[in-house]
Amino acid sequence: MNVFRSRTSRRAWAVGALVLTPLALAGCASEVIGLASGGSLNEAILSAATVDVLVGQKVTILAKPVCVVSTTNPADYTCNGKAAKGEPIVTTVTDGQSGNTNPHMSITVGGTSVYQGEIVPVLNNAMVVTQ
Amino acid sequence: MVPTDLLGRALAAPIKPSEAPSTLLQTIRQSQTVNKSYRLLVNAPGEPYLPRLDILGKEPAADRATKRRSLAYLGHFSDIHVIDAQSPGRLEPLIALTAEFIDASRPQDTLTTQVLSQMVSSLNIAKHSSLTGAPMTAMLSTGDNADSRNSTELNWVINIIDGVSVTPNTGKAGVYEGVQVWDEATYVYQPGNPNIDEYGARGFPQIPGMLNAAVSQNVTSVGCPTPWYTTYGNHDTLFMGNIQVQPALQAWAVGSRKAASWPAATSNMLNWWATEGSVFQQFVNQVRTGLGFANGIHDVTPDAGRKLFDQKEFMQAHLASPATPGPVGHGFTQANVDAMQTYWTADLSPYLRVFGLDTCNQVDGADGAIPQDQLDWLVTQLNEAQKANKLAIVMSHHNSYTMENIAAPAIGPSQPLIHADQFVSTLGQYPNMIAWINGHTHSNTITAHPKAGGGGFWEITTASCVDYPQQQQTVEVIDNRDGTLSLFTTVLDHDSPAAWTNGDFSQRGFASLSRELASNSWAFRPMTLMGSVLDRNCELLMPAPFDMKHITDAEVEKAKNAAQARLVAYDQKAVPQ
Repeated sequence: MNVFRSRTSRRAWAVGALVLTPLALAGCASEVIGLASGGSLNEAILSAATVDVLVGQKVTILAKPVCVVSTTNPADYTCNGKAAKGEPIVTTVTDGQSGNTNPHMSITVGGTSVYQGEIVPVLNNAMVVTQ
Repeated sequence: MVPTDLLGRALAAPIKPSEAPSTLLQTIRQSQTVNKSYRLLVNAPGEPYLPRLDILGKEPAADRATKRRSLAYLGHFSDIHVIDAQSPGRLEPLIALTAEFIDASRPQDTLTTQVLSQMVSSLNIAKHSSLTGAPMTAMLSTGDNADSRNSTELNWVINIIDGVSVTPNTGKAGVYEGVQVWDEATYVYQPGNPNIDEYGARGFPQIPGMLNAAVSQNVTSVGCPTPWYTTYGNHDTLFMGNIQVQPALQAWAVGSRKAASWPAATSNMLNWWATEGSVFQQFVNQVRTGLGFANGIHDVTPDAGRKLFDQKEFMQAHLASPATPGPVGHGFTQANVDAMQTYWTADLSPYLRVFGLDTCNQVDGADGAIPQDQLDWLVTQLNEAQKANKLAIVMSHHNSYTMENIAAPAIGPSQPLIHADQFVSTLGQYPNMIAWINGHTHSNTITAHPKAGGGGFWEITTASCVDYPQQQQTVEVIDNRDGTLSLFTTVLDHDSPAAWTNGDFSQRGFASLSRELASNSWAFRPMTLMGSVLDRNCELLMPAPFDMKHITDAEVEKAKNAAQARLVAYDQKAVPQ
């Protein structure tokens, strides 16, 4: 039995591929959500960002978007959900690779673009109060 | 005994939604950086309920709020993780070895009893629904109550929830003996000298005297206002939530030596396997030579209370707790102990039945699963509940994302292990099964499990008391009287200021400090645990599982009066002990 057994579990899906490396100091906003310093985008972060955009634009969500990372390209993420009248909600990310502290997402509802841009400002808006 | 006239007045009084502060009115968020990358916490606007339509599949009736009735209002705690930070049985140095043992140490390890007490306080404040005014019926706790299977930790949890004060110290009275004061432990936050390691580089504050004050404090508790029930978590079952306890670890936990460096910690662990037999002996000898076994161990004051409890002792500890708030056993009965059956059922009202499952693997690994015999039992129970037109709630520690453990017992009867897909499919066969509440991932997450053809159930995962955001929640079951039900989830912050005042070593102050430290613990990626707005204050809609007229208004009123009478009795005696 390997005493250093991998923790498959409790937060693997939320933490993502966390690696302890010498950490660069940064006061940058991406620190807040841990995209800096070797962390990477993950499904939970992307789902939260998608929901924040949709709720902010008062889109009635029928099915909360569920996000998955591509099995062939870890930079690619896709989220799928539904709006109130059944219109597909689709989020795509193509630069979500580990180490990218400023990934971008594109969100469409029924084929119409509702957001195209950086993910970090969306999350910061939800998580950080500017005083 | 509550005077009759007082009780009568309380029961006759019109029920109004509570105006107690909750995250509906006010939330807590990070501010800008104040020192390097360190941020403080501040109050922020509240979050209204948002509808989740994933299971209903359509927009709900606009007038449903005018007709609804509350069937049950419940508290949900999970992953409390009360920590005896000084126990040799904790191997904090492992965090320096690999991020897989990230749980081994946190900056706020000495402040967990204060957080729990203030969370219980929040539950008391929220004991009437802010939506309907309904009195709280019960609190459901989904495991990882103790952090390290430590008997003292378990006693602290039970006592605080029961309203009994504790002093969160073991070993030497009034003095903290642990890694957060040892020079070689350059992998943890040292509040007396944060610049010893990366925590100082990130701006963590210097707080002289914090540790001794924290472990010396008399932590009082108002106590849970309602009966409370609990399940096992992997940290109540396995060492560090992952590894089966070995006799050598038992000896270490109550002994007088504690590891400060990772080679010593690793050697401790390897020593266990070696004592189990000769299989690993050659490997151990080789590794020890390289690691330098003798370094990095400190003498500490031993404490027999740090004994690692087993399953029987876990249940017995709950059976030993008082009748109020109760129930005795908190789900477990003497029959559970006699049969060593670690799952149970209880009726919270004549029309609501809860099933407390044990999803923990007894052998290895933090992930969970359901043994076949337990699933067979649950199926029988769900059938009975369905025939009796009872609503059913399942509670467990693990959630549907973390039930893929395949480790089987090395000895004894071996049951096939059922994993998430099959478990969800089984639950979905019972329309009266309205919610699966759980924890484990320390995050606010609400997952819909719709069924083809309509219907389904909601899975509600609450955050923890130990990692940011340090939130728990309430769940209210509402009959909209239009063929739909709504489950209202309301997130609770613990009762402490958002911003910690420097030098505030009061109980509330320490709880506030704990939240602030947790929010800055970068390795835990704290912001990812908050969930989205669709995982926090929500109205989870679903088709009613049967004609709700089967549950009469008289039954609902009777249940409500019983709950209100308990709260009146609680308020009468509510003086911290």
